[in-house]
Amino acid sequence: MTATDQRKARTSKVFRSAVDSGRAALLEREADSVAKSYGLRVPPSGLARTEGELASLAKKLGFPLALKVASRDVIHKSDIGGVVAGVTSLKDARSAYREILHNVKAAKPRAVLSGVLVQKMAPKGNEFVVGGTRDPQFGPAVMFGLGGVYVELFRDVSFRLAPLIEEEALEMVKQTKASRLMEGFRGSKPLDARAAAKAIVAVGDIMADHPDVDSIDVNPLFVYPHGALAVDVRVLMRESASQRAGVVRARAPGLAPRQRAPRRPIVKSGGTENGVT
Amino acid sequence: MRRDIEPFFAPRAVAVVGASRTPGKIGHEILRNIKLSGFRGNIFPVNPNYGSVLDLPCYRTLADVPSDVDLALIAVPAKLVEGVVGDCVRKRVKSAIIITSGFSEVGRRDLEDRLVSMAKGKMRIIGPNTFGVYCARSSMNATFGPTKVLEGKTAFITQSGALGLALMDWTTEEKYGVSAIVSIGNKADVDDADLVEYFADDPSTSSILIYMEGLKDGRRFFEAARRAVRRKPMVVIKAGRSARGAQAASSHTGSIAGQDAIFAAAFQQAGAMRAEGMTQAFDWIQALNENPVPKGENVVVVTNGGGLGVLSTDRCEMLGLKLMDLSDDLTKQVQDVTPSFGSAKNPIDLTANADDLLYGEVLRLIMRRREVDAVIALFCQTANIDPGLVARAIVDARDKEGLDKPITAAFVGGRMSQMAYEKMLERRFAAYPTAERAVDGMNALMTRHRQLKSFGKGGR
Repeated sequence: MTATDQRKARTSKVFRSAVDSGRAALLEREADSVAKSYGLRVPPSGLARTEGELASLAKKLGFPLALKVASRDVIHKSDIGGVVAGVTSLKDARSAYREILHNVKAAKPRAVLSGVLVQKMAPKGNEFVVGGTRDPQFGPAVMFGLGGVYVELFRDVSFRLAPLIEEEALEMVKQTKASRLMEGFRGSKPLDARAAAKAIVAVGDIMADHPDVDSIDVNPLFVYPHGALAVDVRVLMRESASQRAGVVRARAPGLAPRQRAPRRPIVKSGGTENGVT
Repeated sequence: MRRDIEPFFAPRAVAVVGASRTPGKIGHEILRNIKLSGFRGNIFPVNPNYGSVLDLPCYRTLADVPSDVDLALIAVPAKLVEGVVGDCVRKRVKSAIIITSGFSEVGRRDLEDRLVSMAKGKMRIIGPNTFGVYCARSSMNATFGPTKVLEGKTAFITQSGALGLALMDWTTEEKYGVSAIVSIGNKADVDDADLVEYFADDPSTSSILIYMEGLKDGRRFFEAARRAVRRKPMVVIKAGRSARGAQAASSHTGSIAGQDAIFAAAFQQAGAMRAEGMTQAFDWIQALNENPVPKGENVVVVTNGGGLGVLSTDRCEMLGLKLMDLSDDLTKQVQDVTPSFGSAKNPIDLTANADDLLYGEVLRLIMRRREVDAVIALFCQTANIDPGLVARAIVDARDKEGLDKPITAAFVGGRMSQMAYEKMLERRFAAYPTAERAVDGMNALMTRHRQLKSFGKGGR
């Protein structure tokens, strides 16, 4: 088995567990672990299931931190008060932790919680977006463009079919107007275009290796003068993949116990993050 | 070499099933075109109602044809097509072009699928719903389009029937020659990817032009195009920019990725040049066919009018073409032959008095220089200079000194200018009626230069 085969096999397990449990999206930690396997840098993080775990994570990661609810049932975390960013002390961390649990419990009493994701906040970089999509005609494709809130206004994006090589990804970067930021715009330092290109290649490789993935959004990708960081990675699964899993479940309901697990907002269970450490 | 596709273009024997004696009927026009185009193989009309058609003995059925048949043209009513395809398979016909319409284009995909499965592994099918195939190498015009087609170096694949027929006439009229024309129809079996692979290997084709509305298998086309472009340039006109695939709204990428953006990406990544429309496509093809690929990026523009010089400079700038700074040495050489020439700038303005002798002399000077990679010659019609003479001088200069360098030209003006550039077309020179188009043509060549350079560096 080559290294790339191993990578594919290892990450396939993550996708399979998501599909088998009928989820349309990877959990944040799953998405991060897949991204890391493909060479994307992600912010260091850990899952806190107790305040004790929170304290030791905070010590390990350092501040500032972002705390986010980790639950298969909560996709739009910030909409229900499931995210607190800019946490700079242990005291703040504890109150943020309680606040998140409280908010989620109020908004989604039946949500199954894995815990609270504790993430080291990245230093602010220039915001770009990298995406993976699947075209009915051409198959896997990738997108690169200017990130932030104006993505859809300016549509300063370029596309390529995946998989692709780094030179092609660099061309994609050059094709956007945002590439001027890479060269150093109005006295700012030039950015690491090659790191952005590597991120594009990685997203393309994930799309090409895993036909069950519908789309990937790395938004934002912070690009620095040296290196790049995938701050938020979202991975959606194809409908057909979960439908296939659904067929299996219908025939053999016993195979998917998690689907039938009692939906309690219990922080300690952690049951849905199997296979990811 | 795609041996399964070869019989469409180089058959030794052709049968026209549904041959007709009635002028205007498709079965008549195709037979007539094959006969008149100088096809050297055998031609067998098939129709149970006639003993002969157009002085050729006519056979009741394919089975009665007294020799092997490489290509069958099927022009019978839709309900009879399946029977004829069966006859073809039994006769071991290698390829069939189904002219008849009334299949997937009217929602009867099922009928089409049946034909393909009958022929699977035994015979390849172009169509249904096509106007046929023209191949210059075989002197075979197996279409119901215009009889006379100008021979050239471009293989033209068209998905549109009506537009394809119109362009067939137009290519001849405008002196754009073709090595082949394929009306690809509904693409039930043979598709763009098959033909691209075939023409990539075809020694009589030096460029590929595709009019495309949609693809059945985009990924396969992409792979075929990417391989073909390493060997010859490809220009694509893709209609239908507006359709946007339904995508998950929750995904940024999905909501931004219109279908067209992916098509555009695929063309770009494969190295196929996407033209905005017909004029641009043919302008590019013409420049690519009549010129060597430039060895570098240095472009020199020669003009007799400041206005054309400025227009072409703007256009060059916009497209990323590099107008080189002339060396002192070259400037001096040009100054020596042009008394009124004062500035060392590029575009070189020969002023309104420039005649054929001056154009010839300056172009020869420029084209001899190793640092010059490409030349654009522009001419505005003036009161006292004959455009025809200038045109001839430009073509002669190329033939004498510039065969290793690409050159395009524009002749701007009235009737005399038009006649001048048409004469240039006949001498295989990429000439245009406007400066912008001459620059566009050169841009296609420069794009090709960059492609070849990236292949050399191991790009894919």
